[in-house]
Formats: sequence, C-alpha cells, structure tokens
Amino acid sequence: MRNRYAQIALTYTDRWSMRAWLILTAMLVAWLALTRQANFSERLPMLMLGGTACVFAATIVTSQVKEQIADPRSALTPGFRTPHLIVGGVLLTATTLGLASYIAWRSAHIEGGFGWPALRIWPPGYVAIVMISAAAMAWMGYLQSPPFIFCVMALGAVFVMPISEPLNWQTISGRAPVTACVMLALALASLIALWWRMALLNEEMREYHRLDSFSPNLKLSMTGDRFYRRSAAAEVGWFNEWLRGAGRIDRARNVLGASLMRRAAHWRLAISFARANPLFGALFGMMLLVMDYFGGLHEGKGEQGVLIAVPILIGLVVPMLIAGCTWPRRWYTLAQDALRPATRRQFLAEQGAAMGWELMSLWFWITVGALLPTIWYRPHWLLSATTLAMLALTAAEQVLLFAVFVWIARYRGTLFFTWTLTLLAVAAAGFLFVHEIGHADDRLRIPSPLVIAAVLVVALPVLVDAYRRWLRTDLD
Amino acid sequence: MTTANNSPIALAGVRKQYGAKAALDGVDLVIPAGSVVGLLGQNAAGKTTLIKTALGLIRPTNGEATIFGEPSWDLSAATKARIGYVPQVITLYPWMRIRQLIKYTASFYPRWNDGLVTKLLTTWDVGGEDKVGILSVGTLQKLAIVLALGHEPDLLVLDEPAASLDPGARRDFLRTLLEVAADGRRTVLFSTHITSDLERVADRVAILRAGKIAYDGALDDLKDSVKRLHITATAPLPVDLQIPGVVKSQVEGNEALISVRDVSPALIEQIRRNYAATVGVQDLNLEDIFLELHHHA
Repeated sequence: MRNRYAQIALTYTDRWSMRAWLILTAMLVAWLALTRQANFSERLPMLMLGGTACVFAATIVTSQVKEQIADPRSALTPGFRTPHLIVGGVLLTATTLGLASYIAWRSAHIEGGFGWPALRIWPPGYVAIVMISAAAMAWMGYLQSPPFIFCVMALGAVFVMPISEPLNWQTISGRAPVTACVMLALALASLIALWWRMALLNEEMREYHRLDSFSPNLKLSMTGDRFYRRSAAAEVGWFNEWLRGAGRIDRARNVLGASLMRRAAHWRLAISFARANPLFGALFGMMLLVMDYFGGLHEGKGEQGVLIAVPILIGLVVPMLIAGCTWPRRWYTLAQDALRPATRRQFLAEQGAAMGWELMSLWFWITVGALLPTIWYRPHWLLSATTLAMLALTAAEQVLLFAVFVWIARYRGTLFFTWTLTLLAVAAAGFLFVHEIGHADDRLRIPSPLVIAAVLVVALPVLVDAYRRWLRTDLD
Repeated sequence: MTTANNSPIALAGVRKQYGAKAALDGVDLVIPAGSVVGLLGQNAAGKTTLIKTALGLIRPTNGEATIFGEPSWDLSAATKARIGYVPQVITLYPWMRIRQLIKYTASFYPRWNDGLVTKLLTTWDVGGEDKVGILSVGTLQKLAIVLALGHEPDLLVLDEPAASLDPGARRDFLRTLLEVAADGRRTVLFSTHITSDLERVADRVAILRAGKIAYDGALDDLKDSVKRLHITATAPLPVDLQIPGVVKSQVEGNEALISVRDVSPALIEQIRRNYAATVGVQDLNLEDIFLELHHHA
C-alpha cells in the first residue's frame, strides 16, 4: 500500500486544471533554469506569468482541499482530515511561496538591452505581491461565493490601476520594504487562518456548501449528495430570490399554446437571474469609472482604446463566461422540464430562445455598463461609426459564441470541460475583435462589415447543426 | 381491450446500449390502460433506463417505445399533458417557494386540480411558503408527487417514489395512488424495491432482470404460479432434480426445497410418483418470489 500522504498528493493529478498547470509551470521553470541571462523584455513577462501560475495554483489547491474536507467522510473517517490538510498545505506552500521565491531568485537581476532598462528585483517584494494575490484567490476558491469573487476582482482591478503602479514597482524593486513585509505577513496570516478554518469546517458553517465544482461527477459519486441539497440550500437566500425576481412567478400566466417568445420568456422566469444582468452592468460601469478617474481620463488623457475598445471587449467576453458557469446547472431539471406539454422541437427551440435572450441581455447590460465612462467623458464617441461597427461585431460574435456553446453543451460534460471550451471560444472571439480593430497611431480601425457578415455566416450553420444534434440528444 | 398500438406504454424489442454494456436488452412490455404496474428489479437491472426510455427522455439504441400510440421520442404536446412523472433523483428549482413552483408548473398544463394539490399538501404537511432548496429529501419527494398529480395525468410514472417517505407518508401516498387508479381510466407505472407497497396497490408486476423482462403479468397470477415445494422422499433425492419450471432448488439427502413456476396438481402428483415422496406446497409472498427468481438464499 502506498504511503497515505503520497496517495493524497496523487488525487491532485486527477484534476485536469492541475495537469495543465503542471505542464505550463514545468515549461516556465525549465526556461528560468536554462536561461542564465535574459533581458527585460523576455524576463518581465515570465515574472508576470510565473506570478499568475502561483495565484492559480492557490485556487486549484484550495478548492481541492475543500472538495475533500467539505464532506461527511472527513468528519467520520479516522485520520482523514489532518493528512489532507497537511498535503494541501505543503502543496500550497510549494506552488506559491516556493515557486514565487524561485522565480524571484532566478530573476533578481534583469539585464537591459534593446532600449529596455535593466531592473533589479527584490525577491521578498515580488513574493509579497504574488502571495497577497494568491491568498485572495485561495479564499475565493474556498468560499466559492459570487459576492466575494466580485470583491476580489474589484480589489485586483485597483491593484493594476495606474495609481497603484508606483507602489507595485517600489515593492518589487525593494524601495518599499515595509510595505512588502506587511503584505507578506498579511498573506501568510490569511492563509494560516484559511487552513485553520478548514480544520474546523463542519455542516453548521455557511461555507460548508459547495457550488458546482470543476468535478461534479466526483462530488456525486463520492459524497452521496445525490440531491445536491447543499448546493440547492445555497440558493435560497433573500438576495438570490431578489436577483431571480421570484415575485414575477406569482403573476405568471398559463403558456399552453403560447408563442415561442412568450414561452421563452416564461422559461426565463425559472432559469435566469433577471436582476443580475443590469447589476453586472452597473458594477462594471462603476469599476471602470473609478479606474478611469484615477487613470487620469478626467484630465483629458483618455484615448479611444480605453473608452471604446476596452468596454466593448468587456461586453464581448464577460457575458459568455458568466453564462458558461450558470447554464450547465440547467441540466438538473432538463428531464422534468422536457416532459411539459410541448413537442421536442418546440421545447428545444424554447430553451434555445430563452438562453439566447439571456445572453443578449447580459451582453446589452454589461456593454452599457462598461460604456458608462464613455457616456460620462466622451458621449459624442458613442454614435461614431467606429463604436457602432464594433458593437455590431461583438453582437455577431455573441451569436457565434452562443452557437458554439450550444453545440458543446449537448455533451453535458463536467463544468471544467464545458467552461474550458467556452473560455477558448471566448478567447478566440476576443482575439478576432482585437485583430480587427487594430491600433495604429492611437486610432482604432473600423471593423469590416465583411468580417461581421462572415461571423454570422459561420454562426448560423453551427447553430442549426447544434439544434439538429440536440434533437437527437438524450434529455435525461 | 388495450392493444400495443394505443396502450399507455408499449416497448417492442427495446435495447439501450451504454458502451459495451446493455442496460436494456430487447425489452418487450405492454402496459394496459387502467392498470397499476409495479416494476421490480435488482439494483442496476435497468428500471430507471426502462422508465426514461419509455418516456422518451432516452433514445433506444434499437427497438421502439410508444406512449398512447405515439413514438416516445417525439411526443406531441397533447400526449405530454397526459403524463405525470416523478424521477428517482428529484431536482427542482431550489430558490422558488413551494407555492411558486406549483404555480409555475401549473402554467404549462391545460388543466390543474388546485383542490387535489391543496389537499395533498395539507395531508403531507408541506407548507406553501417554504423554499424548495431547504426541503428534506422526503418532503422533496412528496412535493414531486404532488406536482406530478396536479394536472391529473392519464399515465403516472414514478421511479422509486416512496423510497424516502416515512411510513405514514408512504401509506398516504399509496392511498392516493389507489384513488388515482380507482376510476380505471388512469394507468400507473412505478418502480420500487418495497414489495409490500407493490402488493398493496399493483395489479400487475413486471420483473426486470439484467436488462430483460423476466416476468410480466398479473400480480395474482405470479403469486399463484410460483410456489415452494417441500419434498420428502423415502430414498436420497438426486442433486439435479428434474422438475419442469424449477426456479431454484436445494437438495439435501431425502429432502428438497424447490421453488417452481407454473405449479399444477398434475405436477405435484408427478413428483409424488416419480420420487415416492410427500410434497408440501407453500405460498410465497412477492418478496420471496422476487428473491427466488434472483436466486437469493
């Protein structure tokens, strides 16, 4: 029998996210180990990439430990919890503190050249910034709470704002040692507090629940929670009820024989977060307003890239990422819903219409929210040909993303499978957008109508094919 | 008389393959209108797959499944309005209040019996203001049954409906089921492991074994046909006792305990003569029959 600690460590290799992380990190470490000297332009991206790897490792390791601890077995099986916490703790330390220290050590002095300045990295400073980010992400992986995730995103945005830039460079280069020490101490203390919290985790604690993790199959087979009761119980709060607009159901009317769009609207009563979409828009708007204010736009330093391209790009990528996380939950009620009076064709068309409507609503509200700074600072840019053509391109891309998602969704794979493919599709759409608008001489290009039409020409057959395939897909 | 063409559920040569494993292996089953059919089978015998295939949620690899004469895979809205279904794993919208979920479900159907729904909720002590996500498994099951009955379906299909109910609720549920089936117009198919429930309400039974129908017929016929014979002979009995219709045999010296299908006075007389033995006949309840059919001790 293998050593118990080794067995626990091997459970991490079951995660595709961890496997991908290991391959990418191994490549990074090999590059760092094999290159004795590298100039600024080569080494700086590696510092950022390495820091990102540490931060993601914190999320992956913490969510795996929680997967193992938030389970009756961890309380009832003798000698279960402590080894799992120890292995998780060791892996977290190695993949964050250890990896960040190695990266900082290998990059302590970055040569200049080709016009780039030389740079001296103070390892504790770099490690402090990585660790404070990793701690935030670890807590995010543990709490799995949308409001907390948004707070972390907002704090992260402040962190990368131009106003924070001098402090970041001072910390990294060793000119603010006290700040670095305070950040490092805070990060370590919060991680210790997190592990202590997990050591005590029990059913009475609010965070004992788990939202759908990246391995729902694992959860089903191992926890015995066939009814997703913990997950379901997490959705009964007043905020969730308000977000869903539950009161509308009290006014619902009979939809037997109603039109496609009326029935799609009826399905949205059950599957959408009615009030969340404008809320997302408002939050993005406020966040960008604050960032742009501190970025100096109020002093007339704004440019088209920040006030048009970035908001529209946010409107392009964010809706599908949100939908990609929430729509897979639809599978749980699909069988019962499929038996409501409607033919298979009607049912699938209604579901598609409801989901498409939901995505367009998300796109509309997030784009409007993200354009708030434009409305505030440069309202006359809104109706420019550039802006309108970009909006047309992103609207067409939403149709393509929706078609790709619906095509993928019929496999009804794990959340990780679905979300990863969605992420790739979104990244491709983002790349197409950035490529199409270009950026030369501080001016944006107007996306070609031909490209917009081409996106639709690709999207529509994919959508039709997805619909035909869904007609042959089991709905159990 | 119900024929396969218009019977509430008809499966003809239905096979469902998952990779190398056949969950259903050529199932032929016709459920007559107005009957209450209990579907029995061991774990992984294919009960849930059979139910889902019959309802058109799963597409058969081979064969044909129909409901009221329509292909299950492509049911019309009108036929779906005649079906009530309680799945084995119940997942409802957790954030809705019970009254909201009922109203939402009702909004899809041409008719809805508010009186029956209210009566059942009251009987089972299910509060309309509670949120679905915090219900116990048993209460969730009660709610799912109420939702399946609200539109007074002609065909009610339940996959282990009473598994999580307490004895009182189970008794109420069975009484409701009998009331539903009382007018002889409605058909009920339910899978269960609780054979006493099945004996109480079912008039027919279908036994599924390794993806095949091992028995399909009237419950009383099954109980009448399968008996346990206590054979006591004057000389040691052969280990491979040759008796037609034997389901399970246990031979020790002069004595044998044998479960036999299609027992008749002629068969008993033949055993007496052939082995110079006395034969005692014992009636079996459904649980015993199920165990004998599956060769359990």
